[in-house]
Amino acid sequence: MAISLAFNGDKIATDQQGYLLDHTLWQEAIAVVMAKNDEFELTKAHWEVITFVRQFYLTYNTSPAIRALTKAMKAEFGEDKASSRYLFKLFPDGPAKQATKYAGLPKPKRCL
Amino acid sequence: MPHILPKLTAIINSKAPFSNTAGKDALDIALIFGSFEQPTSLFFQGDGVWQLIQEQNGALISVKDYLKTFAAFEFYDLENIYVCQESLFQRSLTTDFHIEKVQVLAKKKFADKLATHHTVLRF
Amino acid sequence: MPTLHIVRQSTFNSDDFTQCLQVLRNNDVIVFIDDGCYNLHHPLISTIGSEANIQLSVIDKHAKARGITIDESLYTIINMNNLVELTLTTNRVITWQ
Repeated sequence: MAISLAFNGDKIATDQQGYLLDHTLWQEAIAVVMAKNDEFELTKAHWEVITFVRQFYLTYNTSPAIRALTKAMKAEFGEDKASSRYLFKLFPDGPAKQATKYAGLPKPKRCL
Repeated sequence: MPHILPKLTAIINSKAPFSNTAGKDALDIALIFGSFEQPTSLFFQGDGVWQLIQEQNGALISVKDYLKTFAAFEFYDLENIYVCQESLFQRSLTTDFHIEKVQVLAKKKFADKLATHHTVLRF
Repeated sequence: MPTLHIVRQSTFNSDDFTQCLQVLRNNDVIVFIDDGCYNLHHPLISTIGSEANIQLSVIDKHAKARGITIDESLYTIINMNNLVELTLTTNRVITWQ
């Protein structure tokens, strides 16, 4: 196992950018460890997005690109949380990329 | 600024879902076009109509079930989904699809609808 | 608003040409290239009504290479340059392969 994430004395396989190779191994505590390694603080608002992205993946078998994510969140949470501005504020490195990582999902192939 | 009409793209799905990667490739292109706000319609014709029937499970034959992603079309602004009625009829298929908002068109209407698009990609 | 249909497969082997005929509209152009030339004597050709005013074209070398005779009363014989010209004089191109 060349690249992995140390978690509870275990090693969990990831790709070079830290995305889990097997999304079924994910649990909330893993997201906490990942964020800590990135020196990134997860607030309640972050968790809302992470949970939503994970649910999207489990339902549709794909990680949402940013535009699809905002549209889907609009349906769920309403207008003010459904802008890419709001999401980029939460996840400055790109909401689709960052949230999918903490949600234990593969990196979205469609980068934006 | 001159008003430029958006270019309409049609993607024809003509292959059964698991025989090769055509269906998955068509889906990837459709999602990319949708993400970049390019107006895109999806057409299902010939064996492509098999992509729409219910109760499929690619996992049983170790294929990633990309058909589940069809249900997310609305989030990618893919709202024009057309199916060739004759292709359904030839395969003894009903109009029970695994996604909603699918328009079944008779042969002539299907052809006319396709001809309203500027670019046609066929998979 | 004609469509250029480029037919590349033998209909004895695939459903592509049948699907092309499903969406054929008046004044469209069909070009048979590659193995599409095997369709030249297929009974499906006779299902295309003359009133539809369809231009049927064949890439000369592709048919000849396969030993297929071209009925010149039915087909326009063209080369690759003509095919490129057709993509410019029609409104859209669909490749059936």
